[in-house]
Amino acid sequence: MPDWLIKILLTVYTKIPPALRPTLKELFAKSTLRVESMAKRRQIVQGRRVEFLDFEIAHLLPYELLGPGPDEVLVEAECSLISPGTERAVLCGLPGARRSFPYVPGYSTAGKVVKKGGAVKGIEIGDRVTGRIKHASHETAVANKLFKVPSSVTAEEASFIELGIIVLQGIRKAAIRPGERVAIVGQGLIGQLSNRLARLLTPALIVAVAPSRNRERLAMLPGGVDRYLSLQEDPSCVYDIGADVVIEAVGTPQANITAMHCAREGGRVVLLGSSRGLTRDLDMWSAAQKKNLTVIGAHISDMPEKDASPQRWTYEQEGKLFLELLQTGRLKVADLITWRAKPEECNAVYEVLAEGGRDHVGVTFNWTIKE
Amino acid sequence: MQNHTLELIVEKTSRPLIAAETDPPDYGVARVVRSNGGYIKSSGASHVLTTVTAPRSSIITVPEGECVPVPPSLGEDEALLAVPLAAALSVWDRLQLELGEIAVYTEGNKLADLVGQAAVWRGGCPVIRLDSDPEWAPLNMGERLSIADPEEALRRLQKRVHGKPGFTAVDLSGRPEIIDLLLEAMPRWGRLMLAGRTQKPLTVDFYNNVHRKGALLLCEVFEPVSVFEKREREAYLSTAFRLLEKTEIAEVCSRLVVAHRSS
Repeated sequence: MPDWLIKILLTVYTKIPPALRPTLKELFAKSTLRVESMAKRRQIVQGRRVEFLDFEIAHLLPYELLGPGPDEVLVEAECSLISPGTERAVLCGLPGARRSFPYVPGYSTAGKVVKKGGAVKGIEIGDRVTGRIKHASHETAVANKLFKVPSSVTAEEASFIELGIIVLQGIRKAAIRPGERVAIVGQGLIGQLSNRLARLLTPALIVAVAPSRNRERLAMLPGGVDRYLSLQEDPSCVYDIGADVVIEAVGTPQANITAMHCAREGGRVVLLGSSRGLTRDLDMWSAAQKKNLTVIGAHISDMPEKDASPQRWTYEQEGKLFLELLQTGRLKVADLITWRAKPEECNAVYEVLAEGGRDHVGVTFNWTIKE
Repeated sequence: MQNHTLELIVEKTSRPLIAAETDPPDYGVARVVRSNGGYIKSSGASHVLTTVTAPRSSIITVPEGECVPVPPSLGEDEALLAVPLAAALSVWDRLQLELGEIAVYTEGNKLADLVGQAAVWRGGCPVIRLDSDPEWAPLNMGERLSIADPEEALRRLQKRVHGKPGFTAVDLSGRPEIIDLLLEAMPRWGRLMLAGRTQKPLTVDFYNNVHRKGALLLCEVFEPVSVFEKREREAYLSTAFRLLEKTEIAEVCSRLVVAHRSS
């Protein structure tokens, strides 16, 4: 749309009474979608998706989207996994996560291909796929950004894909060697996935450090940790851990310091959680310099687009590995799901999430349940 | 394995760079008086480098494993230079500085320029010194960036960093405003060593400047005598000896270290 037209429309829009604006906006969006549909000769698909309408308000709403373009597929969702840290941060407007509303959350979904563009190769209608897809019943996605799900992997397990990739790249950077002592600070979903992926590297000991014992049962399941420490019971327990490797998986500024306290002299601290906000009054000398710590940042956006190098695999490589680990049974994730919600329950789900998630770890939306 | 010891006479010593809290020992060149076997005896070395706690001319007994033989071609003064040179080289080794990557270092201690020079010798390009001293003359092949106005310094450093494939930096100052500047300017996958003793609490944006950038942060304190503690001691010091056998390198090191040295 040309700039001059946008300017005119905006001028007109600001003169309309605010109460009428949402209806007009919706009408405008529907009209332009239809024009686009005709121009591109792509069908309009009806779907439902979760939307954050404002701070701490989430609803399931009907929506329309264009069918797939030449290099895209239309995915009918089976299961989507909530990314607790990111989605809570956006929902509550935490620092570093401000988005304008309405906002459509979600980025880890598995489903079935129901339509494909003419240029798509390697994926057929009916194939099960997973990837970076929002919490929606239907969504188009670029085909070569998706992963085909092996037949022995359930949609529920495959919906962990994005969180799995996030944790895999962090564990890779930690370079855990057999026999090392590992501490995982935080026992939310990222922390629990870290427990299990770290376990694959045969450390001598994995210690979970969490504020309370709420998530102890899950953390101690097979493939999890050896010891579980509660900061509520003994805040000074961190000083006795002396871990070779510490994975920070809380995502708060304070947790960065806790992680440093858990490390031995010369240890490595991987910042895997998104600690939005500033770490203030940090005594760098006592916390890190005196102990010769190495602090390693590990965010999914740091992954190279192509060409892997030691400790830095591409998104595609980590995704394929994650599915292979599930397929071969070396990694189990289904038991980390504590709430299998219907999409219609999204309001309640996000209310709990906004309060801190209570005891929940993995929360999924099951899109196959029809009302 | 037998524990060999050496009886030594301390001939020349040098003081450590910092003394606060860690209380590192002095180091020095000592003449071998007696040895009960071992590889230093068989190498025929007449002098060794070691950490010392006794004054000059004292006779000390030291385990062989704590000594590094000094090549006969080097005098006492050159041999002493090996310690700061090895430490300076180890900074960039730990940061894995590659040919053509940006290497930034800061003012902060008397050996700062030796650290910068080591970056030049390792192929850093450009090698930039951040400081507040308008009188300071850049190293040969080095650049200077004033931090008198931190915002302007940040803008200029970011401009210099833009488009370069690799970034390494070492802070030797321990000053919050300089650490902040380096963290802000560091691009994705940057490597930063905090090697200056921090005296004040810091405020660090770990989320944006470490986590999201996939950065590597090495936290320690630059203290030349610590090369004696490193597992790679023998390798670092031997490399330094080989470099110091080149007159032009020995001259540069001598010039950059002279203010620090005391006998």
